Amino acid sequence: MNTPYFLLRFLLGLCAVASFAPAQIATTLPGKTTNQFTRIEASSLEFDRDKGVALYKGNVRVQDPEMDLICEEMLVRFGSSTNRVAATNAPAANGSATNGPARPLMGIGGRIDSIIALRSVVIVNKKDKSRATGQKAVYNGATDIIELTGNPVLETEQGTLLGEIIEMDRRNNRLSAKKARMDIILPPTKTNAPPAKGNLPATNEVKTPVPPAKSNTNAPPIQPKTLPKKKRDTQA
Amino acid sequence: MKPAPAFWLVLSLACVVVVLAQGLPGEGVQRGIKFPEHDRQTGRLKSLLFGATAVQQPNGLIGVTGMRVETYTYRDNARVLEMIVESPACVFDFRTKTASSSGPMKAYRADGSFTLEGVGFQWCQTNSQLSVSNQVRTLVRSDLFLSPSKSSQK
Repeated sequence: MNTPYFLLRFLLGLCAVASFAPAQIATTLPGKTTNQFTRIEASSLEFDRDKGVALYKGNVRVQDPEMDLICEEMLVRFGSSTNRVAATNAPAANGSATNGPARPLMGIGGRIDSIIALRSVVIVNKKDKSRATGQKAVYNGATDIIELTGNPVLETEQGTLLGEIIEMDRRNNRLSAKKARMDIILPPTKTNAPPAKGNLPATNEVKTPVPPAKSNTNAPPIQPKTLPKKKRDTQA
Repeated sequence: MKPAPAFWLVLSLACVVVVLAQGLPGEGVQRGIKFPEHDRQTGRLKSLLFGATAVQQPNGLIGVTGMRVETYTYRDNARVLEMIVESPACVFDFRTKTASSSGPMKAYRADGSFTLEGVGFQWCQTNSQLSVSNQVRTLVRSDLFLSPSKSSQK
């Protein structure tokens, strides 16, 4: 499951959209040019070039080859113009997401300070159909952490992750949640046992509440890899 | 004594000049206009508004056709074209240095990797603020914001 990645990708898309920046960024990224585009639609846009802020308002829709995003407002803050230029002149990092620190989030405008998606935020991964919802998604460029708040829900094949705050640490490739609860959806059982009275449910839902973490502290990080893989295999 | 023919010729030309001075269609049209905006601290050129034609309007505004705004950034004291905003027509307020239109507009990066279209806009030259009122549509080349892992895989 690659939900943190597509969340990151969404946020990267936001910064790219709102940024009007030096053209040199195109030369800092390796790889050949593709014909794929990300389309972003909104009712209105306010872009302050001097302050480095772009605000999309009203029915904001981001359509990407890999994911869709819907929200009501998106605010993107960029670093200073000097920083943007410096960032675009920096050589591209070759490290992967799992080895070494990740490269700072870069859009067309260079280094991103923060990205905020507001109100009825829905992010859908087209590949695995996972879906994240919340009222606010914030990316902090200094910490490389994406924070989903406002009744955040992460729905995956394995189940549904709920919490007060769902954090995705891009630098350490870690997913964590405060006051988290995981609802695991088990696949239908294949047994010879006689059916119970009434209709059997298509799936059995098991709720495994996680004790809430202490206040102002993070709950133990939930690694995506620790999700019950066996159940996934049995589904296939 | 009859006036000389040259006198009549001069008189006729004078009449033509007077009529022209009072106004003809297209009078006051300026072509290839430019309105620059400089950074007050550094004195560098921040943006430049071009117009194919400009006509002074009665309300003190300037009607501009073929509008094009270019913004610039600087690297090692070299000026780099950053963003371009285009519109078939707009009204420019010289006092506030604001261009606006209810018609279509388009903005894009110099390398073409980013395109923005909308209907109805306002560009404030002094503080470099662009507002697009309706139907904002943006296209961004996807390979410009691949994740580090993906971009390194290529």
